[in-house]
Amino acid sequence: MAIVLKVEDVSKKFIISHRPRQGNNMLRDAMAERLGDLGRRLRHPLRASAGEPMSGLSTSEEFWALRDINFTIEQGEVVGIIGGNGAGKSTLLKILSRVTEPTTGYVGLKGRVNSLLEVGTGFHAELTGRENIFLNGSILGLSRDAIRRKFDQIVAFAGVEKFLDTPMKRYSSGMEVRLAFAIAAHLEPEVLIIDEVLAVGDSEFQKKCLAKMREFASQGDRTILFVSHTLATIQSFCSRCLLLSGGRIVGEGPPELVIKEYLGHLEESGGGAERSFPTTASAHLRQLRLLNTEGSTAAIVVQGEDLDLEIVLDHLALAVDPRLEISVETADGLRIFAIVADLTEACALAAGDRPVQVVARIPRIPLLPGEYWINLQFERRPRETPQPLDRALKFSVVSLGGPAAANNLGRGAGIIAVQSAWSRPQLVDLNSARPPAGRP
Amino acid sequence: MKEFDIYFGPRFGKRQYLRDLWNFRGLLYFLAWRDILVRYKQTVIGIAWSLLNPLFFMVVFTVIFSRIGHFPSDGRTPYPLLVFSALLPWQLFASGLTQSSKSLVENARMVAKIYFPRLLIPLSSVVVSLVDFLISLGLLLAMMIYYQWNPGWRLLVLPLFLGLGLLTALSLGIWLAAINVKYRDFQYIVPFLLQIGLFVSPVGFSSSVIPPEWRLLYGLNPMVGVIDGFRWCLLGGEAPLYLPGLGLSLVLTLLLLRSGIAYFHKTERTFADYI
Repeated sequence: MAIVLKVEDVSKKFIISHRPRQGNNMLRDAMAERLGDLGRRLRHPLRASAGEPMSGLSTSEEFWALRDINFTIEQGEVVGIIGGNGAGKSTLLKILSRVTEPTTGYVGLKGRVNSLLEVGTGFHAELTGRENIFLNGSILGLSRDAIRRKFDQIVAFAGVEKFLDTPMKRYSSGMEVRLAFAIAAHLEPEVLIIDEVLAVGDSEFQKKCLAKMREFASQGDRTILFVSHTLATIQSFCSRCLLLSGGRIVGEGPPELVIKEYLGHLEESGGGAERSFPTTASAHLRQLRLLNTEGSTAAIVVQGEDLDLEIVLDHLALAVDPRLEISVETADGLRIFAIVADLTEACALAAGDRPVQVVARIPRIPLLPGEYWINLQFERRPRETPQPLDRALKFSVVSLGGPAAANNLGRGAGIIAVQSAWSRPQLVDLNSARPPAGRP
Repeated sequence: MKEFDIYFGPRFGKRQYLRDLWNFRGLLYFLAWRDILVRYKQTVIGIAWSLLNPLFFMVVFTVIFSRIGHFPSDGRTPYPLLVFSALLPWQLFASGLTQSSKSLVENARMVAKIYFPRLLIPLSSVVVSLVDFLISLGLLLAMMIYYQWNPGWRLLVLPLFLGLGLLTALSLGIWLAAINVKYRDFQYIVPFLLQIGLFVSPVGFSSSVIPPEWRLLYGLNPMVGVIDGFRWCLLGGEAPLYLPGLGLSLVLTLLLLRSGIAYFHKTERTFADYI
């Protein structure tokens, strides 16, 4: 088959500046830099050559978001891209969609290419649903005639018939997302580039979206390239999979193999699922271990599965009314939940300083994919200062699809996975003179 | 080398740009349509707003320059007509420049997520100003009927000067839109520039009050040529055209436009990284 997409030696460099000041690129800074540079040049005309990195006012660092990416995609392939946060997935898609230019190398594209990096780009809150369909459609590259032809299908797919002439600002976020996807689903590109947008809406709508994607993919000559955190989607959809890590392609091949590799990668970078503590770390804690449903040590937990936390303590004899608090926080330090263990029984069992093991089970862990930390705190009543052990262990949550992942919205959706049920939308008349309740 | 339809990378330049602009012309229409729709949503008097502003300035300038300052009009032109015929292109320029210079930043989400030739955004934003202009033009025609003023055949040349006015707004607007992506300082510079411009440009007075030896230098302000042209078209023979000044304005505008497009094109492929 013909090659429809080629990526050759693509790298992308960002400059991160470590200036204490924050905010937008200010002209002031640029001018100060130039002036400072000029000053140095005047003072040391020989030393300060143009290529010399500037020092003093700002220290900036090069950051390669992508490094030496090479691959080709043939017509009809469905290729998934996986990788941890910051692996370069989104940057790669942005380059493939021509949103931002690579620093080196090039991308070659053949045929009609559509990219969906976000659903509903360009929606305007003041415009009605009807107006937004035309606007968003044209932003995505549909002609006016094409939009007119598909208008009814789009509206039916999104289920917003009654709200067509309502300004979008009155739409619920669910309706907005459904309409956005409906428009996107009715594009007819030859190559489709998607970033994590399947993971929106309620589960029923998701099924509809997936079915639409399958229909698109099954046409044989259509090429799809997409990023997803839902490994199950990747596994069921893709004919090939790319694994990105640190801006490089580190794995490529059939999805099952690459996903395994990815999980292995996570395991390595997960900081270990097991940790022992020297006597000085915390007076009583000896060992902490994460166990998955199969009972083996794991740094990766599948969303919605049970998680066991095994803790080994010793020297409990002298403790009075001891408690152990286990809390979980996000990588940026937001505390999500805490559970408390009463260790009185463990103390009795310890009978002196024999080590004791306790296991805490957290059923159907409701965390969205991401990285999390476990904090421990040992307390003895009544008046002893608690002994916290912050960031004792790191673990990752991944999503393998299934009902528990149905509400996975990807990054930015929050922290926990909550099930929800939606009623059918109903028209409400905000201006109706309904008699206020409680009055005759 | 022609294995693919599109090549994208630092080594590949402008070849496809014009074609892309053409392919996306529908988007230009929709963006302008959106801006016009949004502009008058949830306003009670709607388009009347675009009339109030020039009317207000016309009254104030007539009082200040004619009644208090005793500035001469062009020939026998009624002073309100003199002011209004200059306010039209000035408003077109001012709102065109304001809209286009902040247009990219206001459409940041689109720029960060979707590919299309970015030049469409400042281009479409100027169209809204054009709509306002046409509405004000209607008001001017009404005023002309009131003053029983017949501009004559020169009215037919007006589209040329309208085009020049749009180009002037665009040439600066494209520059500023691109710079604004990286340096937001310029969003504060534009209102300041326009406030000053309103008084240095011959809006409240006729350019004939400028001493002849300074007229050419005065043409360095590109709006002088546009405003003089408007007056020449609208006020009949009362306001003679000063051709060297107009030529200078034209050359300057074209230079600004050419360099603006070049700068825009050079930086647009990394807009998404900075916006």
